Amino acid sequence: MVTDTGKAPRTGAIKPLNAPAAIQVRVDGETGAPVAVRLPVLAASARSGGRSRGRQARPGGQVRPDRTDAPLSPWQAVTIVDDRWKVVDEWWRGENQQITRMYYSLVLENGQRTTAFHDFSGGAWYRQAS
Amino acid sequence: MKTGWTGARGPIACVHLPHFPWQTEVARRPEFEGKPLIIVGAEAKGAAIRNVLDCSPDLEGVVPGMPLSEALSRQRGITLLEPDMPFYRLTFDRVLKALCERCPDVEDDGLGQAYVGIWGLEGLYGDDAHVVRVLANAVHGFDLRIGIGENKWLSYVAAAGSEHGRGRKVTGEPGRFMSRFQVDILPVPYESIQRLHGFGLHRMGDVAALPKGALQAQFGPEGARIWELANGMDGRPLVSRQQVEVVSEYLTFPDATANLSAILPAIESLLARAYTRPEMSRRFAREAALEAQVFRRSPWTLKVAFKEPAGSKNHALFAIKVKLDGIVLPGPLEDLRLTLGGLTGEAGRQESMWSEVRRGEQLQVAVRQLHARLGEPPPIYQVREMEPWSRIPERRHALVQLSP
Repeated sequence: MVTDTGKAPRTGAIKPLNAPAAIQVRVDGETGAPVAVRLPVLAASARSGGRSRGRQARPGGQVRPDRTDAPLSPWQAVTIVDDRWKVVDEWWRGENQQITRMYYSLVLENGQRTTAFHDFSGGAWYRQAS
Repeated sequence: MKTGWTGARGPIACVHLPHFPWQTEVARRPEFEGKPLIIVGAEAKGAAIRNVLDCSPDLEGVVPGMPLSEALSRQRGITLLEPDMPFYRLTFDRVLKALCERCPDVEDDGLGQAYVGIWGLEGLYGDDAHVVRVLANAVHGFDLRIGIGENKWLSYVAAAGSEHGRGRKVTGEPGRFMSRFQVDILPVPYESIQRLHGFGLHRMGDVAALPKGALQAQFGPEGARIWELANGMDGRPLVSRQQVEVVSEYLTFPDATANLSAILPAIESLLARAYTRPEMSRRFAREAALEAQVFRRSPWTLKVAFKEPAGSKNHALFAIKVKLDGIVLPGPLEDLRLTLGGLTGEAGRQESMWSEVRRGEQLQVAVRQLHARLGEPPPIYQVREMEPWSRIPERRHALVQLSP
């Protein structure tokens, strides 16, 4: 049974889909590639609903801190880095405002595939739903 | 009830029923007349203290909005009463309805206060004095004050300064009219009033004499508003209630009853009467509301949203029966009012032969039903392409609220 929060139900007109969720990453000191990750627990993400899944990206490219208290899974080692690519967008906004992300396609020790990126503007790591 | 800005400007009348919750309680229980009484404000979530919602008019030093502890320290032998908001709301809705029957532009400004646009009524009622008489005669059994001014604030102050059943009109320079009133009538929190007194600003004239910036510096945006009000300025438009078409039927029980076997035939009879009304001819209702006075209790209300718009007595009765099944009545009902709302304009329905169109129509009907039941747009979304070409994945698609 879901407990009543006591708040009036509120619906927004537009909700972002596939918003990035904050994760924790241990990186290789030389290459900067992830070697272990802690992903948001699926049930917790579902509980937070469409309102907040980890952190959500702002239109300007900055990543908006949202629910930073979403529980994360235990550390899982990265077995394979399948692919990696860099996205640079909105360069015309200047260095401080442009979006710069380094994406990694990862296979974890439990066989799960996931895509993570390093946001250069904030320095944080996110899982990218697709 | 929906509201909409009329956009019209002109003389506005304020119908003010001072101490409305107290007046309502005394009308219901005459034994409270002449006794010191405080109606305690509803307990706000997260608030440690409770405030005074209303009090007897002759209770010196006690004003609505004041912390209860402070009020109790000023007077002895006060009777405290929990608020019966549904009852106050129901009673005031009747007042508003009576006003709407006389004048089309009526704004609900909270319990005990309404603004009425009285421009263009000269041809119907005559001059302002006649309009005041019409408004005063619309409401019975309450201490009623009426004020007329060029804006809502002036009309309110005029009403607050008038006498029982009488009207007062602001003429001449508004600032001069306002200057002798106490700052306590300002519609700002109790704490702000106390701060004004603390600065030695007891009357409106004291506030109006100061530069606007000085008040802004102390009170922020609220200071600017205080200054404008003290000078009789108020740019708020009159936002009148929109008339929503409803069909209502009423009956009184010979004896108060809490027995469903007596209440259901009464509902059936009300439905039969409602559906035979000419305005319901070949039309459907999306919801029904039941209201009843309960013996020595607060009024009882029940809203039933029909899954499918009901076009007949039997259809509506079935839905109401289902809803009543799981409900415990608060006490014996003395009377019953049934109101059918959300009236559809359609006399029949033609379904599309194309299945996709049919599915879309069914979805729209479901959304409308949920809207009627929840009282707001339901949280149903559809996936829409936003910037499918974007290299940033979260910008490609979004969930957009589905509206019928």
